[in-house]
Amino acid sequence: MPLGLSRRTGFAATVAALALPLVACGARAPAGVAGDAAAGQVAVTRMACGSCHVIPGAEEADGRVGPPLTGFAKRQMIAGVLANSPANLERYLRAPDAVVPGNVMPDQHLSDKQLRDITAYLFTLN
Amino acid sequence: MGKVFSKPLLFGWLAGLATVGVVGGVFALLVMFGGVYDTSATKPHLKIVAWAVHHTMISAVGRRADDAQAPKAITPPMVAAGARVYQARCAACHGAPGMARADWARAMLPTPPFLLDARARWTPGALYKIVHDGVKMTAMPAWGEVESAQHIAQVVAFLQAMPKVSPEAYRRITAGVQPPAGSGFPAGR
Repeated sequence: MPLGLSRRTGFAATVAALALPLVACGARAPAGVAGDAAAGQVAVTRMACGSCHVIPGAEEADGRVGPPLTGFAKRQMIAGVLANSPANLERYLRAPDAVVPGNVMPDQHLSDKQLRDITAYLFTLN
Repeated sequence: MGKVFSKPLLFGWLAGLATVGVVGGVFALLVMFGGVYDTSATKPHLKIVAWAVHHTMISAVGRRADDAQAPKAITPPMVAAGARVYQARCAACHGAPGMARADWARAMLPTPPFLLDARARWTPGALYKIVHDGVKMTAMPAWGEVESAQHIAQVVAFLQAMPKVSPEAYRRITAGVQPPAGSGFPAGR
């Protein structure tokens, strides 16, 4: 009996160990965020966001110009001005200079899809 | 240590070396002639490849950088001159304070970085080295082939000062310099 139990426990632990990274890799954004988080992760690299921001999961994203985006999903404010929400993030990314005049962060001319995908990715960062 | 080179072990060493050689050779042939590694610029490198090439570049530049070539004293006129050279030569790919990169630069991989914290990442000598001699396989040109040493030193001076140059000041300083096609400030500015 103790053997059976330990086997079962071992099996469950193995399944959990295999499944957990899958869940984590799926990088699913919370409900209400329409974009594709995996595509957003690539877009974040392509748009060189990491030149200025620390961004978990993005290559060489260790910039020290703007705030680190670690734990972005739980951030309360965007740029110290807007309450953090997917809609406000898209608004900010579309025109950083309109939200914070004089901002060095450029409008990167992101497509609607890129905006949604990047928003989805940032909202996976807990 | 004598035992490591005993006769039976010598055979093992040779067999191991041969195996590594054959496996490595097959791998190299698959990559070079089999086309198994995707070189298109739509998907980023494998993480380990990106890490390896990036750190190869950082080490190569660090080894060859010479601070003696960097500008000695950085003056406001030097920064302003550097900003104008930067606007003409660099901004399309690297952006500027408040300014996006050209759309075609955003389609490049590796993607050309914004340079606001270049002064925190590199010594002045390293920046001079990168601008003057370029970087293989990144599309960074060797500007020393086409620009004067003075202009390159001015750009390095501007890179040192970039965080102190507001988007407004940058626009004022570079007014009249032909902005690179496809890049620019937000519409309506």
